[in-house]
Amino acid sequence: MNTDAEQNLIIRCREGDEGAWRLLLARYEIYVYRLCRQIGGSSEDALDLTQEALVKVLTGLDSFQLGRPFKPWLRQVTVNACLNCLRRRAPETISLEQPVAEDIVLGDTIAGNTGDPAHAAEWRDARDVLRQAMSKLPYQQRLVLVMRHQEGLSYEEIAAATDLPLGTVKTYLYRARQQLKRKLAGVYGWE
Amino acid sequence: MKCSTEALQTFLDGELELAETEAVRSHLGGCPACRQELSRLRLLWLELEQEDEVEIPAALPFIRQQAITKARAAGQDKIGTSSVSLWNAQKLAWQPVLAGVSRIPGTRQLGLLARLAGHGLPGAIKGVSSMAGKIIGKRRDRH
Repeated sequence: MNTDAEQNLIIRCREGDEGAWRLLLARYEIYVYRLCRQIGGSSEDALDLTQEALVKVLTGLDSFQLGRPFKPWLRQVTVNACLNCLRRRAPETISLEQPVAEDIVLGDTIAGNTGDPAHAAEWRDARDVLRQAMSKLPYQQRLVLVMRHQEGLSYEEIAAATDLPLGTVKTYLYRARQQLKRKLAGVYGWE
Repeated sequence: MKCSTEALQTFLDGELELAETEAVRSHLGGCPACRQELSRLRLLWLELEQEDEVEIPAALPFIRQQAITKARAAGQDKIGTSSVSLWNAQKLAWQPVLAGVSRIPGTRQLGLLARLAGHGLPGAIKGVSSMAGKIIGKRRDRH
């Protein structure tokens, strides 16, 4: 579907044409599902997040500026929908920035076993290991990782998309990657 | 420049300023530990940037339909709310017209008629008609 055809489809959607709604969602639902799966961290959550995001897409189309590329807007709506759900579900949060010792905050200590010898001997596919490790990250860290590595956004774009300060984006990226690198170290036997 | 994993990550992301990038390159030239760290980070980047093979659930078309149903319902709720507001807006819009009608000559007679009929006039008409009566009365006296 070329850009003009897509813009016409969006116009028909705005007019309440349900056939157009169906076409638009069918075009993008896999992308939305994949993004929700990555941000949510599990396939169990992904369907609920996807439904919420798709409703927001249809009911929020009036806010889309015709003439601009659709996918960035769609991504933003999906991210917002995921964040709304995940924040509602998160228990009363303890700040990751809470200091626990000099120069160390709570977020620095969130980790699985880093050097467990029992795991070091077992070969597991790196993708599986990383996928599992990502699902255990705090959702905010997982979100910035997805925005950077899957969506290709710059630090500033991530900050705008997630409504996080730039410094926090960098901090979350760093912590998430350090955690994932520790998992890879277990797979590859790095010291 | 001292060894810094954070700087290496930002370097790999292409987010360093030019001068900082040059400083990292220069440091890497003389630091085998950082070169090793960089190669490990590159491997991690490769894994993270792979498009995940996500199994698309069979329920997705159903989810699509559910979303359409909810969006349709949300649209109808919005129209419902607007209708109520429109009605209230219309009532408000007509009030000055109703008050204006009471300025038509003969409003005093309306009051008389209403009393004879045993009914009261609406408040807006009553007030204006009484004022109209006083004004008309004064003008007659002048003449």
